[in-house]
Amino acid sequence: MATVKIVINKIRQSKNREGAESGAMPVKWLLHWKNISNLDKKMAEDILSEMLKSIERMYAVKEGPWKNTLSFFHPNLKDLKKPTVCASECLGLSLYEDPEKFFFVLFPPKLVVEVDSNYSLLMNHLGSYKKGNFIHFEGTRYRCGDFRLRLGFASSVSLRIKAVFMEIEYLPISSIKTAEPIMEGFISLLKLLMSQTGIPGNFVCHDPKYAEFELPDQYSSMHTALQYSYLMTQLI
Amino acid sequence: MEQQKSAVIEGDAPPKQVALAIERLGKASRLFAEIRLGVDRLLEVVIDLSEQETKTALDLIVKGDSSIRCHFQDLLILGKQLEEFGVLNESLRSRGDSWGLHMPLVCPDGAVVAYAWKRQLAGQAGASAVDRTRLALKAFTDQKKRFFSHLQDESSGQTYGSDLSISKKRASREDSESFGEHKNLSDVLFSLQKEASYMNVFTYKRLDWRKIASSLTDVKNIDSLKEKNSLGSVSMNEVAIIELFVPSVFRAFISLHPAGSTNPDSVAFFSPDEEGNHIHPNGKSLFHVFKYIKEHADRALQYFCGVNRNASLSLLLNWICSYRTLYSQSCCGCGRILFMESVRVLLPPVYRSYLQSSSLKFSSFQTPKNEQSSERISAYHIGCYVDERL
Repeated sequence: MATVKIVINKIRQSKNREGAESGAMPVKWLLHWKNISNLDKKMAEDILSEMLKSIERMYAVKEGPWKNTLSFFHPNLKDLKKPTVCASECLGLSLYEDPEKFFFVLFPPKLVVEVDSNYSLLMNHLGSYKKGNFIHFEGTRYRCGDFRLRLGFASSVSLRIKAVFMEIEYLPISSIKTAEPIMEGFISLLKLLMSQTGIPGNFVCHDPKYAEFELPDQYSSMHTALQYSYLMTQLI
Repeated sequence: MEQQKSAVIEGDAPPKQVALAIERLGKASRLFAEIRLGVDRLLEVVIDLSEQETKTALDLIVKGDSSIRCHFQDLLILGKQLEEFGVLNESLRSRGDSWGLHMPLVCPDGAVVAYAWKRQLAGQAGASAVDRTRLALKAFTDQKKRFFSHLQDESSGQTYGSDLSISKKRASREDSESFGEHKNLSDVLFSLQKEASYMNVFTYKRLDWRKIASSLTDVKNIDSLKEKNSLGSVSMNEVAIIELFVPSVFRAFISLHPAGSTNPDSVAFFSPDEEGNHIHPNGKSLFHVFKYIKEHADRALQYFCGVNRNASLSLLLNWICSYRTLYSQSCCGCGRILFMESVRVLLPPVYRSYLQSSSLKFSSFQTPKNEQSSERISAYHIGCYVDERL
């Protein structure tokens, strides 16, 4: 347990020393479709096809498939003689665009960590954290002018979740604050189009507190990881 | 043979020299075509290798190779001759004994050849009437597309002409009050940097920018490079490219011609995160937003040059500053930020009124105290834009 914590701290420190990442990432916002009742498979597919029609009205062009996986990690407290400070909630996320990296979001302390993708294997071997349930986010990528959209299902067999969600990316901007009006404009347009289809429910947008997790205004994959963890809390 | 030719050249009249230069350029392009054909034939032989006897194939390959090498040698000789002429570099311009015509130069950043020398050539080299008209028409349409792009938007030519002259008179009367003296480059740039604190201004010599553009992603180097090119570190006589950087919003480039003057030649906009060799004052951004801003900026530049030549740089800089609100100012026509344009792309308001910009007071680089004040330049979507000249 202690070794894991030390390793995580070392990674965090080295990240800070290097400074900002060399490549700037475009800003992304994550939304999901909230309904009063839980969705079953048929309903989810209907919602997805209506969303697809709406974005096709915005002249979106299909780009390709994609998939992210969110896993839960539980601390293994059996072998400890005395209690130590450790993260009670640990979420691991692997992203399609960054296959060589793995992201952890820890709940106390509020931390987002970027590690090598082999690290989860290491954790399994160390035995300090056990892998639990996982949620798959799977769908298709679309390009709509300067926007990139990812539309798909969030599904987990073990947790019995099925949800429809969308990721909106505005390519020219990488500063979260600057992109706010544009994103809000796009979402209101999307809400308008979806309200015309007559499907019950609404888009829900999260407002992750990036500052609390010490993330800067410049967008990066760590921000994406945080957004997914917020989405996960909504789904469960 | 070559010495004989060069002796003839020294004593020739300028148009004849220009004609020879053009003929050689033509020969060069024919050589390129021959080389291409030769390579294609070689490829054919290699692909059909399995179907022919290897001996004949080998002969063909050797023959083809030797002919291509011959063509390359000819091309090398031709290139040397053209270089002596000064066709491929700026040596003639600096020599000062230019032929009294504009040189057909091939500039590194793709500058357009001037129209005037073609006309002289066609007139004095005995070209037929058909050739002359064809040359003139082609040159004129090319120049029109580049320099008079705003004319393509017009439906009726007559009303446009009279309104433009009226608006020109109105603008120039007001401008002569605010742009009293002819300001030089360092005055303009330093006052801009002082008043527009939200923006970073960098200056570059023409070829220095090329070196930087390819290493924009290298964060460790970029700070030291930027320090070298911050305002004041490059001598004003050599400044040929000005970069205006508003963090997180845009990066704009203005090219000056000649270097060190206040004559803007071209302008381009890019995303602050964009990198690559297409980032220069004549380049086009990868994003739709900045592509359409650049088209509008070309028209604005022509307008400012037409209205007040001396103050065109100041007017242009002032107008560019209004783009700091690109993502936050809603359109004056529809009141929204995003709009689905007829070109099938969702865009923020990419048009800024340049007529309004040129009639505002000079010192509006600063953000107005009251954001809603009338001193703000109006923003429009492409579809909401009403041509102010009509």
